[in-house]
Amino acid sequence: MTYNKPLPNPKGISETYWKGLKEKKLLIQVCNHCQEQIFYPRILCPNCGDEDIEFKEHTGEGEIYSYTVLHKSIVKGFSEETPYTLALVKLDGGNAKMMTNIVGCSPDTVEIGMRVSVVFTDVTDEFTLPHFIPVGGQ
Amino acid sequence: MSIFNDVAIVAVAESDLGIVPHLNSADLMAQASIRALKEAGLSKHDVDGLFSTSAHYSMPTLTLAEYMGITPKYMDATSIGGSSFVSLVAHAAQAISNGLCEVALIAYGSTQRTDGGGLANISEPFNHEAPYGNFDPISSYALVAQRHMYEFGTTRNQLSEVAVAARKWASMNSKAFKREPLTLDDVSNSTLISTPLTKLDCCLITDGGAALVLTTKEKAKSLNKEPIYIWGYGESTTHRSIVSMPNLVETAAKLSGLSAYEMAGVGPSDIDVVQLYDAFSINVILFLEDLGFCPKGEGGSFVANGAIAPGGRLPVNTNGGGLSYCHPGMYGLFTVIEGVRQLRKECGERQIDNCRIALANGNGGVLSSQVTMILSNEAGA
Repeated sequence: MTYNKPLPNPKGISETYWKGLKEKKLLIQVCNHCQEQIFYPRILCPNCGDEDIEFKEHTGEGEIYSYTVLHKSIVKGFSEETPYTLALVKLDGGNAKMMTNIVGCSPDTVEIGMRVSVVFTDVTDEFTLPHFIPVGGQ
Repeated sequence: MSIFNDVAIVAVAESDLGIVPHLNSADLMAQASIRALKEAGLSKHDVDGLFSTSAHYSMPTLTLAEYMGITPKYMDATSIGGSSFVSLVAHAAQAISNGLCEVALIAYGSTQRTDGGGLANISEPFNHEAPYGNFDPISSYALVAQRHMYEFGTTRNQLSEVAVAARKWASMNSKAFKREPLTLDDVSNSTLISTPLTKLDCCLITDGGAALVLTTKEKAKSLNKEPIYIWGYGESTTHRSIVSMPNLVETAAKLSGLSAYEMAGVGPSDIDVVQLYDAFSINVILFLEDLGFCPKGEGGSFVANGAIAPGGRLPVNTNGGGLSYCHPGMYGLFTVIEGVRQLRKECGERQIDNCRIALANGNGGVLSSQVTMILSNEAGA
């Protein structure tokens, strides 16, 4: 079955991030000047403005900063899969947050503050998405 | 001191609102424009400054100028989401103050409902959100509401209070799209879309347009309507997409509000009527906090027990708001229009007594941009 959900169209600096996911690595930029995490990928640190930033492999662990369970959706490919959990995950070691889906558990069990860990979902030959599951398979 | 003391708002108008299948977005802009100009006693030949933005037209001031046959000396099409039109009122005032134009027309029109009911949008896709099924904008606001509930104990019923208060005001506005009675349970138990938000936490999807005319304080003396003055103004942004919002429970309205209060030389306790961009119920709670009407985290308890409904402690969204009056996609200008009408004492059954100072706050994107304007029927010092 062909994958019918929205896919990214990465160009520029972000390509490194998406290539990392393909290799099952969560590459998050870190600023060598202020040590802040940066998400999404850029050519400068939005915290201090320094350009000395580099991609580093992240542990893929963090906690749920907020979430919403979609019972209705008009997003292509998702509308038939409700309910699903959309979340903002705050990654360990900084202030970066990323949007993701919480998978591998019932939406009813998801809570703010829950510890989660990345899993890499190959959705097409070209793209792998970083989804998150509860730590310890809660 | 306001930098706009020599400028006045001299006309406001809506186009036909609701479901308007026989007009397109430019028709609606022009219809509202003609009504506003007539209200002031002006014609399109007087207009030398044009201000618009659009989710339908890529060059909206050009579209409007061409449609109406206006050759402006000055234009601005600032695009910062639904708050744009509050921003454009201030940008127009600034242009008049600086002598760049004398009669500024700000016009908006959108056939969002007739076009199919989705949010009209020429936005680029977000690579870091779209693949996860972000049902924008509702899910972005739902993430904010969920976090607000987690941090401050805001309740489902408190969100519903916002929608019920809007409906009570709308029942006194003949132009409002939804006027039938609504209960807290109706809102809480309506179709669950993106937790914690239900269908009735979401603004309407209507067609509609609006226009506003500004000119010099001097020229305003010879026009039809009581002039309304801009005492204070501020704008800011914290992010474009929700993944980059630094703190989900604090918006840029904190900064835009501080700027506006400082310019006006007033504070929240001086405000007689408040018009907030209620794209979703949670917005009102956040903006009441960020604009200083209550401490951070207490917005939920502030709106409880009908406190922002007719007869409550603070009149908020007296036209019925985006939740019950109209919402063609970019609601900002309607906040200013209702503020102006309250200050002119034209609101009939829903008129606030002794209304001297009004606050309008525009919201754009997903709580991304905030624009605060403080208006009065007295000329600034």
